[in-house]
Amino acid sequence: MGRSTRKAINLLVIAVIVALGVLGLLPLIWLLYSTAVNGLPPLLEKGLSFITDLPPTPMSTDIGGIAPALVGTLISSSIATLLAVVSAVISSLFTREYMYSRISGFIEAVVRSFNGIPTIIVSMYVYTTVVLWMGEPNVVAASIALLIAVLPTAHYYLSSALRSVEERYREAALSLGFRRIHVLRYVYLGVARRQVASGILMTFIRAVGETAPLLFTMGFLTNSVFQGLNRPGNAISLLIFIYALSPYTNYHTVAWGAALLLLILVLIPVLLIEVLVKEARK
Amino acid sequence: MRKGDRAFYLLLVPSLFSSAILMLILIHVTTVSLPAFVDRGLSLLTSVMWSPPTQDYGLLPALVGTILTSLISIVVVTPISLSIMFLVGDLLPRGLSRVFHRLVEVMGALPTVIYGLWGGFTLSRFLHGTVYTWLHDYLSYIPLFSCRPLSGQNILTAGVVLGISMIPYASSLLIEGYRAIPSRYIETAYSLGFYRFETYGLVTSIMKPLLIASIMLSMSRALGETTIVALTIGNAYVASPCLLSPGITVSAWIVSQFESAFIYPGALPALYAGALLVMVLSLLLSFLGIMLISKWRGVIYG
Repeated sequence: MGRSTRKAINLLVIAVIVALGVLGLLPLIWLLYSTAVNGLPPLLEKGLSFITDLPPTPMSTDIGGIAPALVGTLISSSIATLLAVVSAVISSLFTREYMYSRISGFIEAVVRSFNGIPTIIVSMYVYTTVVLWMGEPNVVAASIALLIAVLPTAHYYLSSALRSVEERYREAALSLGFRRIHVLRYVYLGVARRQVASGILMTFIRAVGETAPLLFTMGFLTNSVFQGLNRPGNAISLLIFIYALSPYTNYHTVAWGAALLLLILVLIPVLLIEVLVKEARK
Repeated sequence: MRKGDRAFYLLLVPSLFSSAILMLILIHVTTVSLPAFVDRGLSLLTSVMWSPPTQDYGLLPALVGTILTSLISIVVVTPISLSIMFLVGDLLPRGLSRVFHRLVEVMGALPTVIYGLWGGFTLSRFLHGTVYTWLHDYLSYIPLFSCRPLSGQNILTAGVVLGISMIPYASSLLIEGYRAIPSRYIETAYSLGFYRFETYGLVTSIMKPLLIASIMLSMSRALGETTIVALTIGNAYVASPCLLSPGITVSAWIVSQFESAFIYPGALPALYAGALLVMVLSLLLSFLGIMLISKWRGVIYG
């Protein structure tokens, strides 16, 4: 190949890469833009009552609010995040402490293959076990389904947080006569606290955004804000999903408004993580 | 070892929690779906009917839709994530590369339901007005584009949105892999007078196993994805080779049929059979992908 041909191909390849890369980021901008454009009008129109009112009926002229969904999302994702983080701290601690044992390898393999289980199947499983047993869809069942769905995420982030602590800190602590439980408290959770915090936030983001695990487990509460943990609830992601599939245009408007709210709910922890990571880098 | 430290092994009990759940789910799905395989045999996979009155349940439309959407999503995500890898890893200046990488990560944090909403309402309308009509007008002799696009919600849209939603995941896998390649290879290439595209060719060949693994892992995710597909595919129970017609996937079909399947005899096992097929394929791909990555890392780190 002559030099000029190579030069031409080089430029062409770089142009293609830049074009494809920009094309890959374009959906993000477009998506944020259309969520803002479609979601702002209902939010502005209703103001604060969008998060305190009950959802509309198909024929109503008012677009109502999404209070049950907001409450349900916050409760169920908090429960799921809390339990997932506790479980993940324990399992990642075990796999970190006994890094080369066969059981650790097994646990890692299982947690990773969990990603291969479609979350809709988690929903089916929790429905046939918890929901049928408790008699109706409810917030607890939804939290359990969410917990199962975000467990791999929690384990992934927390085990990489613990792995970021250098071996010598651990050895130093142990040689000073630390108990293992103190190694956990002061070395792992102490040194890697920022990574652990951002891992918890990542788990929360996942839990807030999940829809499929809630489909058969949460119910769809629209006539009151909250009825208790053992009663049906609602969630923002679920409300968007169901309203988007419905034929009513006022439901679509509510769905967009809810999507903007969900976006804000997810982007706040994203920004927090950014701050945490930046400070850690200093 | 201290006395209290032995208690540390107690950690093992909750650590096995996830393994127990995985086993329970596998057993549950297998046992419920077993009657469908026994009773219906091959017709379960080849029939296009789903009619509770005659108790005739076939999964072909759902399986075809699942495979097609996953394949389309791979076609979308692979070149884009590879380009993002070269952009972030090599082409862009440092500050810009960091910003670009962060934006891709933000994209990964967005809930799938928002992708679905955007895909089902905004992107599908745009594609219908531009690309689909064009595809049908000029390429309708290809069976894939032979049918008239009635709306923007079809198999192609579902596959494209699915692919878009996996860009962050695939890119982060590839970027991580790219950074693991010892820089001496790349520096050697440049010092020998390689042009960028020649170095990229070299990098791609070094990363080939990782690229295959990322395709497998993306595919594993695409197979089971529910929210995006249900909002974009148009939900019609037909098996069609045409990408411009509305379709269905196993997961989207479960969404619409699961609760009524408890009423009709025979429907639940058939539905679970679809879930089992998707889950087994997805677990297999995810397992193979992970194996391939760890093997590749072993080779790279020597």
